[in-house]
Amino acid sequence: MTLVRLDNVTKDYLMGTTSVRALDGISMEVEKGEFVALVGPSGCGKTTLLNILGLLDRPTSGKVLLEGKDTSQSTDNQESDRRLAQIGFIFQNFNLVPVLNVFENVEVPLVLAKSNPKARKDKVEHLLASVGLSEFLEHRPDELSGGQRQRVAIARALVNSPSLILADEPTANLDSGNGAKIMEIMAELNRKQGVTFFMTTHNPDLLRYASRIIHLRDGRIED
Amino acid sequence: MLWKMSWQFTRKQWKRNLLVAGAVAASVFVMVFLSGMLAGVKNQFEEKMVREGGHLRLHAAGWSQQPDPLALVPVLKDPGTILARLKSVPGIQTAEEFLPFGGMLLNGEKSLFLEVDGVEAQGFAAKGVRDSFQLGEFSLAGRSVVVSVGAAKLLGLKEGDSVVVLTQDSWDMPSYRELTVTGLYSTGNPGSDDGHALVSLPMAKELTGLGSGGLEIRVLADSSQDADRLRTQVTKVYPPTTLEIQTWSEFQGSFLVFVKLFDVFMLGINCFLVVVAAMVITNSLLMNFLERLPVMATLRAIGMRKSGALGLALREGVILGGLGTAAGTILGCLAVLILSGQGLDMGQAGAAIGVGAKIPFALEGYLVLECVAAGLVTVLLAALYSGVTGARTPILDGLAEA
Repeated sequence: MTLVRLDNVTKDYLMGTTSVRALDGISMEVEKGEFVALVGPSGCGKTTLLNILGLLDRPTSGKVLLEGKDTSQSTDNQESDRRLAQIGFIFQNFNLVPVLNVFENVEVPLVLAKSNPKARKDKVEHLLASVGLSEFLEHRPDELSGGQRQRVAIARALVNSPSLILADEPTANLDSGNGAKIMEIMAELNRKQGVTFFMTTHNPDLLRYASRIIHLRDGRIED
Repeated sequence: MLWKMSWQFTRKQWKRNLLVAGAVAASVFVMVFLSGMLAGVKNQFEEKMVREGGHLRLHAAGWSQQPDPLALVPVLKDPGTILARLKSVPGIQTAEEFLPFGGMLLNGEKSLFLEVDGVEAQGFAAKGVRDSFQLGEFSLAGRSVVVSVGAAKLLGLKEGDSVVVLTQDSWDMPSYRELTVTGLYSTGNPGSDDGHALVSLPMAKELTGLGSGGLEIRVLADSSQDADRLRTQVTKVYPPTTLEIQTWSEFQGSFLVFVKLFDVFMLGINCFLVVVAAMVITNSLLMNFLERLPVMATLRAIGMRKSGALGLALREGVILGGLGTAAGTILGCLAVLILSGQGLDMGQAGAAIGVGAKIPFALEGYLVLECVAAGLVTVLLAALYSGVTGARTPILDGLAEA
């Protein structure tokens, strides 16, 4: 089943008076249950593509269909609601809310989705247990290691059971040991629960976790 | 959780937020303080100028044509009958005769020209003097006169001394009596005090030779708002050809203008305070939100709507506004309560502007509520502006700063 489809997507940025094409006619599909790795040199458009997939940015032309629905005419609120319900984000810098503890950080998307408190508690505790952080519920992000923070971010990305998780260089700020642990967790979620991942990376060692690799160069997908 | 998040953000940037809450507290404090002063001055105006001066003043027809307000013409015939009829009119609390005339007080070689008022000793017109007695005993019985502390000093008098009151009676003949100073008063407004002396109404009639006639009747209504209605009612019984009737807003017009100007002045000061406070608060809150852009962008990325981000800003505004307003209101009310007992001593400056040496204060609930509302609205508008600015920032710009 096709989860995401991009039809001839282009993205131009205006740098002063000059227009720069970051994505140039990208057409691709991501199937449910895939683990896609997007690789390419710096500046090739990886993050731009990820932002468009995550409805954080809009293409200059072309279409993005999420679970068959065209997102190009969505309002800001509709985009927010889709991000909340259908997309999970794992950021390179973890992007946790510093004033909230681990439990609350994971709980935020459920609060935004107006889940009931009992269900929230059960789900958050279950997810944090699955990423090995049951002992750290009350800890603040600044009391955790980089690897632990990224595990919190993974739990947060999963908590609303989204159909797609976008990970932007998820191990870039971690040492190799912690990076490997994070990748194992993601791979296991993909294998056992069928969670769809779309990950950008510079690190060739991580490609072995992917079921499909997409090479991007100068804003185009290489065959 | 969103409240907790706002509270934690507030705590995290506590130094700057202390400035915000302090600015709110300071502006609300000053507004409550000034409102207390305004209420006190208004109350004093209502109590002293309006209630003691009467809500209505009745004179014989033609009185307003007289160039000299202390002239003994035109004479009110049979004021006793008029008083009896007035007291039966619904809405009139009481009515009494008042007889002002120009007189000279002589003590040896010292003399002072002033207005001598013939009053009912226990009437409302003499209340201010009764309430501000300084030395001796307030008594207008027999051959008594009451003078101000300042006038007594000018004439070299003390309580118990004799003083001659000299005037020109209604036949233009000199008339005088030697009266005993039974006591001295000071209302805190020497400009007015030193120009007046009080005698009993019978003594005033004796000195002026008016006999059973009178010059003025003062009417106290249940409410100052009833004055116009009561004038219309009394005019039906006593048409303008027989009596001239003025309401308090006419004969206290200059003070009414002063009070209204005071209102406008206070409104101006309050607006200035709100604008200055709003600028400080808006800038501080805007800095808070700009520093927090990465967090807000993250929340927006994981599904928070713009309205949600705005809600966080408003929650923070409510917290800071609530704390600042509460502190400012408590301190302001305490200051006003303390000063409502003793007044704020302004010395000659207060007397010069006609509010007395001590500026009165009063705590009025509705004015305090206005100040509270002004404080809260200021912070909420500042938070709204900051929140809108934050929420409008593109998510990717915020994430780029993470």
